[in-house]
Amino acid sequence: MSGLGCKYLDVAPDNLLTSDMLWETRANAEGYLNQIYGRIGIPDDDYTMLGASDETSCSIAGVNVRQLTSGNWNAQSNYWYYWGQNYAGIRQSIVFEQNIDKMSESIIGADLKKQYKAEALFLRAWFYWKLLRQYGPFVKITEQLSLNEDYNKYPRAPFNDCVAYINDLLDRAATNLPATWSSSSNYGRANKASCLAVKSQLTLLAASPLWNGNPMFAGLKNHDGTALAPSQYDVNKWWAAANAAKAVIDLPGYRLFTNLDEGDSQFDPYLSFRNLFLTNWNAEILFSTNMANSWQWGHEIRCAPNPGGYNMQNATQNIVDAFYMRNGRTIDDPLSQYVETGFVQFDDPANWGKSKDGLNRGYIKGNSNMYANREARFYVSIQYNGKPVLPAPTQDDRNFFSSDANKDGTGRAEFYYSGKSGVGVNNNGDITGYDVLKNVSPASNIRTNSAVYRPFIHLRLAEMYLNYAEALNEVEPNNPDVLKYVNLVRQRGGLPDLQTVYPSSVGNQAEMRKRILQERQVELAFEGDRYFTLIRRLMMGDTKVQTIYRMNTITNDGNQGFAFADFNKRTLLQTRVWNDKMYLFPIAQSDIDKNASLVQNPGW
Amino acid sequence: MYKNYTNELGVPKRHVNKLLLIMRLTTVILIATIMQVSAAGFAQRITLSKKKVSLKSVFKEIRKQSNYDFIYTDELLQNAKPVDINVKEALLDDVLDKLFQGQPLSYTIEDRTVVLKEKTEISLKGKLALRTIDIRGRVVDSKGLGIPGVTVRIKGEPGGGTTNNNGDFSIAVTSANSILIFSSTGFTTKEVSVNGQTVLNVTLTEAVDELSEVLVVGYGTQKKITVTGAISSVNMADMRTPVASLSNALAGKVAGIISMQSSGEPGYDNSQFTIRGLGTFTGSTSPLIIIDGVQRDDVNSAFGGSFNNIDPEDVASISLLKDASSTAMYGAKGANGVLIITTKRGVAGKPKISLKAETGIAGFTERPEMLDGIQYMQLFNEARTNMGLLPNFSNEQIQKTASGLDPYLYPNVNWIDEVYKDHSTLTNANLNINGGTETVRYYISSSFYNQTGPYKVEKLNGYNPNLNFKRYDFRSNIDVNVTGSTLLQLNIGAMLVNARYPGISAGSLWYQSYATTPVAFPTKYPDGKWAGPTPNGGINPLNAVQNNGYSDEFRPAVQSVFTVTQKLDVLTPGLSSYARFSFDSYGDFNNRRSGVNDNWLAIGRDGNGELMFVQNRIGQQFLGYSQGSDGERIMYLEGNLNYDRTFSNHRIGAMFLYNMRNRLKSTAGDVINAIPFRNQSLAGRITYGYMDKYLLEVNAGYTGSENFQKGSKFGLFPSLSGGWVISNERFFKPLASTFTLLKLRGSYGVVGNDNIGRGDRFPYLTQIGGGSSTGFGLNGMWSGGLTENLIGVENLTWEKSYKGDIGLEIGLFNKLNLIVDGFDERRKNILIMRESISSIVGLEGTPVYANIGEMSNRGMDASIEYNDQIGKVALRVFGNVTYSKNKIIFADEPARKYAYQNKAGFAQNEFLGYVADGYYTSQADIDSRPVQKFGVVKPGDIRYLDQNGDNVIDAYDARRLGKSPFPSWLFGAGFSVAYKKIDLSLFFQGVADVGIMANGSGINGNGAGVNGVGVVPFSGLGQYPNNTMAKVLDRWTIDNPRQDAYYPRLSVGSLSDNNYLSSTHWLKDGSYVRLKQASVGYTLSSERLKKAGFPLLYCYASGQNLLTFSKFKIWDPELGSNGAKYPITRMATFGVRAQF
Repeated sequence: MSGLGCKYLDVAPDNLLTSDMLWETRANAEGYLNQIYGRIGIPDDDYTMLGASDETSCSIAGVNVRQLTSGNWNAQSNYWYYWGQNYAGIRQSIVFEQNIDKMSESIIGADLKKQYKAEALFLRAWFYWKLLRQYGPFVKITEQLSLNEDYNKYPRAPFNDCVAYINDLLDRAATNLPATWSSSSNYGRANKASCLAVKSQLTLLAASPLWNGNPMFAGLKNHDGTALAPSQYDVNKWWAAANAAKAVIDLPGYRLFTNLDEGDSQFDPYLSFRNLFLTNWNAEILFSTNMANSWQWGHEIRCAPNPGGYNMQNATQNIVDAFYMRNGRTIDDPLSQYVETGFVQFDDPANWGKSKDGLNRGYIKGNSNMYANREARFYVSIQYNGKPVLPAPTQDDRNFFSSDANKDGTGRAEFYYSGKSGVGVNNNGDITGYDVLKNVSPASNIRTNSAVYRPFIHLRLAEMYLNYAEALNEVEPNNPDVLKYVNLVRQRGGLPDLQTVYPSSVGNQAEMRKRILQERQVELAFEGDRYFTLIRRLMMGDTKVQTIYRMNTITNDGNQGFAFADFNKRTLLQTRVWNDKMYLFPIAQSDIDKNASLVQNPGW
Repeated sequence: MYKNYTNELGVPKRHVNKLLLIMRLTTVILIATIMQVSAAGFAQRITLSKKKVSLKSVFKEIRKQSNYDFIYTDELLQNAKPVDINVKEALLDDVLDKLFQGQPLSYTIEDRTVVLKEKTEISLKGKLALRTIDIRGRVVDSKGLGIPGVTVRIKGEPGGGTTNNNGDFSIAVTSANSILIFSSTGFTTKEVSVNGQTVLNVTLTEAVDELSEVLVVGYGTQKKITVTGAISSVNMADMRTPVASLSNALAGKVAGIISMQSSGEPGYDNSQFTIRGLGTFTGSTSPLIIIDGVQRDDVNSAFGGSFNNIDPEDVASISLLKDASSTAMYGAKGANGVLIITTKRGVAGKPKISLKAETGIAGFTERPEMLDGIQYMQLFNEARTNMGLLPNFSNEQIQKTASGLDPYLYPNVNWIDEVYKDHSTLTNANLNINGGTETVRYYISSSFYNQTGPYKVEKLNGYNPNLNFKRYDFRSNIDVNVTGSTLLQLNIGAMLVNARYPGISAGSLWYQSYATTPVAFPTKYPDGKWAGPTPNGGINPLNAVQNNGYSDEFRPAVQSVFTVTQKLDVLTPGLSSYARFSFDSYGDFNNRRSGVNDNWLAIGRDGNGELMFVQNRIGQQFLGYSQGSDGERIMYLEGNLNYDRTFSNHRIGAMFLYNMRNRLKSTAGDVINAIPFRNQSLAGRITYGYMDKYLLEVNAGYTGSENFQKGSKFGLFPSLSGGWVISNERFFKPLASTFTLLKLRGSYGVVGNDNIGRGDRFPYLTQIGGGSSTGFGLNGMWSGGLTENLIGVENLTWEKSYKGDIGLEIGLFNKLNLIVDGFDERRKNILIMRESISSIVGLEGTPVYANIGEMSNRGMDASIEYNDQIGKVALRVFGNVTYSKNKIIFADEPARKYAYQNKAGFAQNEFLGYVADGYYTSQADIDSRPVQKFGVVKPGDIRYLDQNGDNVIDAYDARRLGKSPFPSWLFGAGFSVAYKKIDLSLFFQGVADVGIMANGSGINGNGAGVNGVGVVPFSGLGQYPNNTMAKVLDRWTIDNPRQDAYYPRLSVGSLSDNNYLSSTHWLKDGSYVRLKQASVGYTLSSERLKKAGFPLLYCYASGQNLLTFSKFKIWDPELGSNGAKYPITRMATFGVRAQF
């Protein structure tokens, strides 16, 4: 003990990193920016993925998403409370923007400064967009608020202002960012394509029925009477959406991924669609989070059947039925050749995936006829009963997933009652007869809990094609681009062009709208889009969307296993509770309690 | 003197060497007792010839010739006359008699020392009658042991004698009707009429002597009568338990403590305890722990509980400082109260050796009962049927399991019985020696504690993973009188906990033993294969504890204090000072060997009837290795100036001190924690007393903490207290024989707390640290993030506690003592995290502190003690009670829609949940009530009440439920009786007004499984429908729809189900009373053997937690809402105490 006297306590941590010191070294400033990036959540198990839309249901009763779909939801439930998190990102992006300029150019060069500032603007726009999507009109914050502010002075801004504000942020960000990254070390950072892609998402949301003159929101007003939702339909918003999507499409350097990009000589729609998600980087990615050892294992194990996996993310019969037949037709089309009963006698002759994996990844002998002759994206996206488990590299690993009678080295997933994933032997067995399979890697081995790296793709070019087609169809149904971009997506999926199977849809706005939305449902399945598409299109109240079907997982198969024919009977899983107030999440009660000027969303 | 219960065979200490007591005036105040000793047999002859010399110079001469020391103070000799003396070859006592003739002095001789005293007021009037009747006898204590050194006087006459080492005396009296007066410090003076007898055996009872007792107070001691603050001291005789942890032994022993022991795992079983309940709702509520004058705990430190490792045998006293007056000097550290522990010191004399050894067994107070395999299968089927699912187990399977014919394919395992033994063993021993001379005294002690583990494991593969807790304590307290006025003291305590724990934590093991189904797999197969489930399907708990390896932990601690006390009477009488320096060092090391073995699962039998297996886990041949360590050191410096003097009727005291403290962590892990923790303070006390009747005291601390900004570092914490000893009033004299004490006291003041919640520091600085990361590049390389971990706010400072206390102390007939205190505490400026900041600021998850919380805590504590001797039976009855009720006044909450969900207005941690209203009786009943939004309900499910009247039951209908997990009442009561050589004591302790939320929400899977296992029926993921408590048999069924069933309609449940939400249905009364201690002892105190060189022996049998009475019978109620953890232990021990 030295230094008697008053100085003794002046241990003010001089070696402590304080807010001022953040801006003294480049590494620290970059660390702060990294942290803002870190606030971009990977929604791999949130409501959009785990069962708030008709794609999936979670096998575990009582989880929040099951509460939500059964109507146990109010402003105090705080399910997926992202409001505060997004504002934290917004504040930090402002702090970053305000401080980066103070740094001398010897520490951080002018170009890099400009780039980082633009990234910070993008991030702020991203968080605002997330707020707008989930909660509707938000409170616009343009500078740091003090701790003792009168928060009651901060009401929500009208929807149009919110959109304009985010657009402005993105425009400013895009100006100073390159269209593509020349150095691979920047993969995962926002670039111009990322900015424009968010603009496309945003403008499509603004043009869609939810916000484009929706009478349901007529009463959504601030306490001073300011209307927060646009009361009039504005067709120009579709134009804005179409143009925004086209702006992304026109950027140089982006194209739909195919397996040819991986050096294959033969196009394989299965590998093209599957490996789009599993490559470390490709030209279809507009914005992704490139973080190793983060979400990958969780996604793999949630999706994998028992006993290696948790079997949680159960795909529904509803989404299964949406996938096309290989001939490009929907299964309810009499010409589709879809068969609902009986079992396949031969392995899939297409031999998709074999060039890379050495295994046929299509249907196999003994599968239900329901799963025969479906399009390639089906086999990429759906783990069905009897389909070999994917994240299991060796025969031994695959046998691990099989009952004794089924140990043939293929590892067919057993979703029937007495199967390894069945509800007969598991407390939380597979409830639909399906698991999600998209974005699961054959290089992972879920038996040993190992999962391989790939980026999480937030936005990709195919979505922009579909955004463009959808928006353009609303204003110029006869514009050939509508068909062109839907077809581009279909072609990568190995399907014939739309006009060859459904010529009547060409130029028919209503039918084309339906086709585009189905294309979207299939192409973007399990990527978090379905929920928001149903929301913005005001389709969530449709009983078809709220009535969820499954295979007959609950009737005892009497140890017939895969031969149990009654398994492939459509069975009701859930009649979900829907209330139109659910089109927007409620503002959390605690946020209203802290800020009296916040008005609650309609119906909550 | 203060009650000095030391080391004598379970008998309160009274072999007090009076000589030493005089020597140690700084700590011990002795009432002058009249002693005139006819010392015989002095061998030395004295030759002296002096005229008109001072007594002092004569003493020096005699000392040279005789080697006898003289003890006196200069004050004493002020009035002495010069003497003339002329003796040759005279006996010492003759010389002394001559010297003291006509002097206002008398003397006693003890152990070659002449002790001077003021001459007694009993004058030698009249001529002495002839003393012709010889009386002999023995003076014994309540246990029949002789008391040495008892003064024996004849009433109304001068002279007398003392008892010898065996308590024997002989005295000559003048008349057969003479009355003898027996007195000794620590005992009630007794008058016995001779009544013609010549042999008198007298039993003295231990005195509860209010006037002479001394209490340990903050930074010193005070005469108990003059204390004006609320301070209680623990009767150390009650602390004789085989319990390893000091804090566990404290519950119920003293008024003012509320504590709960939440685990029984040796080494990790310390109680969480508070003084007078909860004063704050954030940060720490633990009191400050002072050991031998030095702060020895640190909240948020891994070593905060190390004081628990001090052997209670080494503790001389424990004081509890409860109000503002007694704690103000601790300033910003004192708001939660202060516990002062003082260890024993040596007493001059021949070495006294005490030995204690005890051994016994330990088990669990309560062993949770789970469903057996058959019940499990049947109820699981019922639950599934209730949910519209098919049964899981076939009748055939159930029958095969019930038959028990093939326990490998159809197992039926009681995991708790497989994993836990009925009892384990414990042994402990303490050896201490004290003695010394007037100049050097020592107390040295060593002890050993050994407790074995409860797991049913054995040495396998070269190691035995069973828990084994060993503790070694060394202590050496040395006092050296360098000069007559300078005292050096050095205390060194070294403690080592050396323990082995199995490779699975105790908590996980309990969790798994609750969770694992009885029918999934056996423990192992006949060929030695260990059974285990498929991956992610749970674990085999016995396999986990036997084969997961082990960890050897050791936690050394060294605590040292060096004190120099200097009397400064030369400057001005009554002035003294001391300086103290202390350093402590703590370490925590562990070497972990973790293992994974092969696991197999039988899947059937082949054609020959042999088991067929799958290997579910591939093990490793060798145990893995990892290690961890942690440590810290603390240094402390204190300077203290003390003044205490009496001017006729006025007693004036003053004290002033300075101290500084520095604590440093070795493995802080981050910059913030690597900065030393520093404190600095000035404190002072002024006391004034008039005739020990009217008392006034001012205490103040001016403390600084490094945690706050310049200008806000220091704060002043003053207090004022006063007392009125009514029993010392003249008008009270008529009642004096009834009321030995009547005292009223009160205090008010401010104390502080610089402890910030979460262990944050420097809240005035915005702190940057690791935040969420992201990844960039082709392979997702991690890019570390930096974020604000704390947003600095200027001018933060301590929380302040405004405390008032009013106390009444009553002593009746010298037998009954009653102390009652009422207190009222208002904690303001509580340093809390802001909750009302709008999310739009963007600080979600980042703490911002402000001094704005407010809480009130009021209550009372009281203690009563009764001591009596009825014939040959000595009796002591005691009890104490503490009540505290807290209420949050302000917590910076958002303005909530429904006040019943607020924190403010309710107790800290008060349960939030729904108000249950029985079970639904029918579908019509369901339809007629408000819709419950927690899933589909059916008859037999729990109904809830609508709180906000919106006819919907949802999250808005959860409210505060009036009970919290922290008890409002804690009480302890017991008695001890001694008859001849046998003594018996019982001690009960309990709590009341406490809730247990028994829905399983307290049972945490910590990532290894779901929460609520064991309670929520069949909860769990995948192939893992967990086992359930046997209590589930008492359930609502369609056939027997009882409203009073414990469980609602059975379902495969989870905590978010309608039936398992926190509600009044599951809120159980957690009150309990338990027989905390019971002991019976026998004294083998043959004096004959003692003379022959054998020790004094006392043997006893004792039990801990033998009985528990509670309405809550599912697990030990002290565990609170989490029943799936190491239970409280019950012990039975046998021990021997010996003194040489």
